Amino acid sequence: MSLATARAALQFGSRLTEGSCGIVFFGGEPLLHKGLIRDVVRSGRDMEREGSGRFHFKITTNGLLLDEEFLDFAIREDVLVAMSFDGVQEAQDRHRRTVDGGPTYDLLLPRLRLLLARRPYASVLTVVNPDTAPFLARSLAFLQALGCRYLIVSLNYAAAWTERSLGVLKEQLAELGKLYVQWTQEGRKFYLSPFEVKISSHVNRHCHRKERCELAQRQLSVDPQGYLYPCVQFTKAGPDSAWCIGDLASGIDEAKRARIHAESERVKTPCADCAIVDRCNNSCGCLNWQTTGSVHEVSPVLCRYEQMTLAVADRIGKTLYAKRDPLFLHKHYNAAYPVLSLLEEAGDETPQP
Amino acid sequence: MIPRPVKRYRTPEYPVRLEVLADPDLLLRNVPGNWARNAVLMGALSALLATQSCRPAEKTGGAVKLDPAAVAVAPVFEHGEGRGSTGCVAVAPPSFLSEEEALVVITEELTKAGLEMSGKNVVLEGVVIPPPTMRVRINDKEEEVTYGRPEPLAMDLVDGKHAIGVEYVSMPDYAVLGGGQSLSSVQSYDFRRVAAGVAARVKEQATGIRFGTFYDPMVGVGPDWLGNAGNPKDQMAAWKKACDEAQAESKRLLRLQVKDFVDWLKGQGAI
Repeated sequence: MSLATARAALQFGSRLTEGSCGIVFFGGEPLLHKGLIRDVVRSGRDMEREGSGRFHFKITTNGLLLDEEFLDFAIREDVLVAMSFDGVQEAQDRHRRTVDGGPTYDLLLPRLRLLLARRPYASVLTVVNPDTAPFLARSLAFLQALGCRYLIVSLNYAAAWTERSLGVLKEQLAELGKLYVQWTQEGRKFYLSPFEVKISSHVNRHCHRKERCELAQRQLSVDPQGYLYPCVQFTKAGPDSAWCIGDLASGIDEAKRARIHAESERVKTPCADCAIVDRCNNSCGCLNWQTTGSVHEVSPVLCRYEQMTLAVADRIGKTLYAKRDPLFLHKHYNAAYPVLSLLEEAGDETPQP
Repeated sequence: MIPRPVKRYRTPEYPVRLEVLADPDLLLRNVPGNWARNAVLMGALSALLATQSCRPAEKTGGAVKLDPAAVAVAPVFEHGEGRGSTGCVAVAPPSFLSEEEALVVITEELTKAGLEMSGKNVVLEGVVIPPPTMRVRINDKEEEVTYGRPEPLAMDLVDGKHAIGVEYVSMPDYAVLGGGQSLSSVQSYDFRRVAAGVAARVKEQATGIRFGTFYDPMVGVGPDWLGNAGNPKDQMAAWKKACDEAQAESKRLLRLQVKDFVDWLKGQGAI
């Protein structure tokens, strides 16, 4: 993407919201273009000074090119940096390899430590594959011990999951649920997706859906040529596809956007009578499209995963509520918890991991 | 492997947020250890919890108590057409009264009547608004599709003490509350019909509340301002004046809706 296109995207984004417009750098690996990222962020900050927009920036990196210099820049310009890391060595080295096929655990662990030292609240993203599922609980325990507080677990839905590997995953999620209870009872502060979201889907059942991604409504993706798409996954379909909903020069084709949104919101055939439909992530249009080729068809793997995580999350909720665990109660029922937690840490010279 | 819907799922054995907030002491009684030792934090906690509490207030002695199993829904008081269209063939553009502006008017009138509408966006338990629909062409076939899901009704303003809630049907609410959404460049509105639909649903599904529904009177901006054609600056000023007049008229009509509601509440012995 050229800087001119990126600047046009900033201007376009600033007109879409009166609030702060979130700009997320996606790749490939975004840090291959550190110079461009710096220029874009500076342009955004210049626009803010001129009163022509407000922005917050986020990057997810594999960590290979993460260094002190870039972190200095990110901290100075308030750019959030999240890093992908799959946990223990067996998990990390299984799929995250260098270009020449080498392992990355030893290479990237110091980068993760560096990120956490500079940004203790950085999110860490862990992707689970059938062959790394057996290490899931151990990997998350490892990351927690390392000091990671924001742990986001995602499944590789497109992988070759079998009944056997899903069975292993179920056992690991149950183990992870026990760790969630243990960590909470120990007073540790952390965010562990997907359990937090699933607990919230019950606790906040009246407004849970407001938090969800609505395809083509709340976010747009801009490809290097300046074409617009409803989500980052669709950029690969190209500007001639039905998923392109406009471009930076001429704006959004509202009819196309409305059609895509309406299609993604149609009740999915197998889900209509499902008892947990309101708590399920089946509405993620880009995920459905990626895995089934249609925004309103649901992947069977997603269906199974949702059922597994929901059961564990509700077990966690039951256990911790029965104990009236203070951290659980405030984390999930007190809307002011983030503020109070920050206040606590601001007054604490030795914040706990 | 195919998706397998869950036939039955037991209600989770931990409460929803509204249940916990009805007993804010639960959160005060169970405080993380570090917080209890920090006076500043505990002060902030008490203050912040007070803003979240939805514990129902005690009923006043003078008001007639509503049977918790009953519901009383006011008719939609008709002041203002509440109908019109926007888009290419609409010759008299309507002026919409925003939610914020309308709630100021409604609050003013209800406060004069002695109500304290401090509850905002309070979910009315049991009342579900079906998902909105629109007609779209998919693969060259016109279909009616639902988008979104059934949502609980969140009342705009509530007086917890008197168990009185109100909902204002504004333009952004229109599709969500059952008005339908057009995909063409023309969108028609019938706010009175949608308000009546909301009132009927509350009457059918709610308990323990006296409820009123108001709607955007949708006063049209007449074509008179076009007489100032010529100087663009004059035309702009005439347009703005016409819009301001339409807004003022909308507010007047809405105020009349609220006054009728207050009379209805008095007739009910609620205030």
